Amino acid sequence: MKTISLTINDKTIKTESGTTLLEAAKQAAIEIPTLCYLKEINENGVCRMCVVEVEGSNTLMASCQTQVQEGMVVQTNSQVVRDSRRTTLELLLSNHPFLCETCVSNNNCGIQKTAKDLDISMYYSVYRNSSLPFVGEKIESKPEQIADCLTYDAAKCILCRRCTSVCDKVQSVKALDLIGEGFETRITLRSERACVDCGQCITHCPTGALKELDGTTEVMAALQDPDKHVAVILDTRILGGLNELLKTKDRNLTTGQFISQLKRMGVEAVYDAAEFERESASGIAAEFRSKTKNELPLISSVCPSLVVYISERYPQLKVNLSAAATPQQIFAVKAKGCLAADHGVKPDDIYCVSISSCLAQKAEVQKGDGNHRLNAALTGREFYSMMDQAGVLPYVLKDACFDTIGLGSDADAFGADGSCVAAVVGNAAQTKSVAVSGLGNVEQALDAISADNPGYQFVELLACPGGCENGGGCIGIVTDHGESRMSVIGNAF
Amino acid sequence: MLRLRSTQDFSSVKAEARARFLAKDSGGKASVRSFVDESISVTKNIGAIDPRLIEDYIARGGYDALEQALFNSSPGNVIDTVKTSGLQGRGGAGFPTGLKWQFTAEASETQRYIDCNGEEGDPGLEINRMLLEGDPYRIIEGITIAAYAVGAHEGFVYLNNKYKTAADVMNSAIVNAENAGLLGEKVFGTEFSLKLKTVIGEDRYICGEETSQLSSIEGKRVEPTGKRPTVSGLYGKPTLVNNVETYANIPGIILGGGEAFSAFGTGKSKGSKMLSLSGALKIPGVVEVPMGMTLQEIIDTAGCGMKDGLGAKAILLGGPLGSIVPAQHFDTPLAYEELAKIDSGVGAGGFQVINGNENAAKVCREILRFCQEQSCGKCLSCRIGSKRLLESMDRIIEGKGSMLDMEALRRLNDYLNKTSFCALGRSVTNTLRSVMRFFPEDLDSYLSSGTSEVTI
Repeated sequence: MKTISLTINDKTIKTESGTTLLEAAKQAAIEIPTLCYLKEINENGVCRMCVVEVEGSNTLMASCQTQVQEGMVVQTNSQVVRDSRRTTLELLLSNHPFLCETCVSNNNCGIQKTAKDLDISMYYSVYRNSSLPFVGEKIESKPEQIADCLTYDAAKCILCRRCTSVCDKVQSVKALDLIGEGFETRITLRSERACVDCGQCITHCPTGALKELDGTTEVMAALQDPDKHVAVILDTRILGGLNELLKTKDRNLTTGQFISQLKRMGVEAVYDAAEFERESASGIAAEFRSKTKNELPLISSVCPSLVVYISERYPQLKVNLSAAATPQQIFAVKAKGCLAADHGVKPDDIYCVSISSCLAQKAEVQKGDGNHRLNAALTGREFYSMMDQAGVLPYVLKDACFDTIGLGSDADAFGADGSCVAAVVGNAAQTKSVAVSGLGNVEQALDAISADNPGYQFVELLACPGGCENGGGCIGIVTDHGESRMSVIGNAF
Repeated sequence: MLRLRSTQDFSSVKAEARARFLAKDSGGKASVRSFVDESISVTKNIGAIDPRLIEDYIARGGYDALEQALFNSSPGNVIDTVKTSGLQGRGGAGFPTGLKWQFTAEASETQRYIDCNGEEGDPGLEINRMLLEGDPYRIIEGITIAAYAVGAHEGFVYLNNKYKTAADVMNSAIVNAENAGLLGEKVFGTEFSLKLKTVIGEDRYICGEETSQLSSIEGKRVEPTGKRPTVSGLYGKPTLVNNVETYANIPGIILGGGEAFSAFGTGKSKGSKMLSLSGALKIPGVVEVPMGMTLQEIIDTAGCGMKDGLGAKAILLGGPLGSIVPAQHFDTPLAYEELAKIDSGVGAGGFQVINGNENAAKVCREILRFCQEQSCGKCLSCRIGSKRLLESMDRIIEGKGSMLDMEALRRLNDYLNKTSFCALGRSVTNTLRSVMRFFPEDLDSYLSSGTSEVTI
């Protein structure tokens, strides 16, 4: 690595060669606004928000794409640069539907944030009256379902390409693509079976153009229905992101307060997902012990996105998938059994809802059968929207405890890299196992296993990078610095 | 025909080809009107030879240059000759050709590609088509010499998807050249090889932009990448991209030498340029003129003056990304550096005369419409900016414009030029800028005569 010396805003800066101007500026505590940027994942200069002036060039340059050069003289905040950014934002707003109040990204939106950073009064004057500087045809807001669990609203889309980049480069799924040209450019699905519902595109969307297929309406109706008894399995991994959004008084809500909130909303029993994850792992462990050597490796099937992924792309490995019940299936069976008996009602009247960091559970709900079946699966974003509608002040609620069915809920959370491996394989030193998360990594692991299994006996695979902690159902926090969401959520816990 | 393995083979083939060619009564008369010395003309064979016969091309001195390059010059010498010639890229940007070759040759990666840009998306422009259809072996020879100079062994001829005939002609020319031993494995019996094939374009203007063209060859979404092809081009490897007309100049330069070529032209702009004359000229069509001829001379000499007693008010020079040059600048020579002084350029060779009865703002609107329709959509600036620009212009011309629209034009004019991702986005406003500078009254006429109220 060579050290490069350059000048940014009259400050001399030394940095490594290969660094982008945006990162070099950041090292010198200079902030450049961005919209599309995701470090090392999406650095393609399409939003034009991060442009800077470079001496000797008569055009502005995208700082996310331009590498430092010896002796470069850069201005990140000159009048020319600020004028350009303002025009970029005004153009963006000239094609924006302004459905902020009902938008899933409200208060967690890349456009709002940039507008606020640049000049909040301008944003609100644009928002409130008709004297827009640029006027013309707008893309109509017409959300369409483009995959099992995914809806897309072209009107909100700023074509930042974070979704396609994450899908291509991080997940290696390559389900999303761009279609059309110029003003008619849109995001689309490459082919109908390409998407495996991991939801990483949603968590990386800065504007709410991509979101999950709504399940809240049905759950709200069930909560209102006197004949239905609603039971919830709550995945505590979503609570960090929720707290990020809810935080108004420098105070986080406790898990117990979230449970109380659910009870206030009319939920009869709230169970800890970790309880069922442990039970599911025991099932896999038993299955593992029962397998002969020829039947190995056993691949855990707790991640529904992964099951779809293997079925579509590695059908030859379907036989290796664990047949043990998933945590959600165990929950549904038990809740429908125990609760129905407790209340003296039919199992069908028990309405089972999973609230989790997993988007793919939604697809499972659509496909599931009989008593194994959840009635609904909600993401963190949907839970947030339901909390808004519930009319409860969660901060004054008292802590409540998880309900239990049999096992007790002091279980460790699963779904982090290797947690299932630990539970299944335990301390058996002779067992060769591997835990991989993120479909990009999973692809490599499965290729290796298909080609020439390097002796693995148990394989734990999770679709989302870093595991369920960063699931596609988590709330993606729009950040200042374009770091990928995973690290941010990681810090939030 | 004989497969050429040595220069001895070549001289006998040449002698026979010449004799046969002279015996034909059709030979010798070029169909493109050229106003330049035959030694540097790129059009002298068009119409004069049967483009399907490699013998005809050889009879007219074809492949002498490749022979000379392969046997008497090192790749470095070839690049030096092209640098000395002062040849600038004929596709629009006018970048010094020799320098581009040098950058490619100096690239650290040894796997390199060559590409011939025959997209020619400017509406009505047929310069590349005429060269490809009329003298295909000249283009292939130029590409082969360039490939030898930069060390490329695989190349593509990228063709506008409307150019069906040109594609047929090129495909058969490539096969014939390969059979003759002048292309493919062991060119002229040497260790140098070049595999060349044609690629049919996608009917998109942006395909003419070099990085987009390379994406198109790779089968990716067609849009600019912002990378320099000489460093990271096709499949990430160093790639030389030149226009058809640029390659057509190479054989003449190698044969006559760089200095001889640079004696033609003016200042820094050397050689000839093919132009596509249109508008109310007595004789429109494709011509070849020397660099340095003034715009007025081109109208009078090459176009034989204006017809129907119309006056020439301005010239739309360089196609949709070019500019509008007013009559007071008709004494400007056709030269990159001279035209730059009046914020104009040669472009790919579009030369549309605007007569006294035409409104420059209206001409500009058609151009904005074209550019907006051809925006690839990659960067926000061009995707939404060109749309809003056209909408404001439409309102003004339809008499519904306001001062807000004028303000939008003014702001976007500057903005697109500075902030857009690629050359297309940055040049969308070139014609608008010249209208605002030279013909503000053409724009204002719509506002003052407009039916709507002017509000600020």
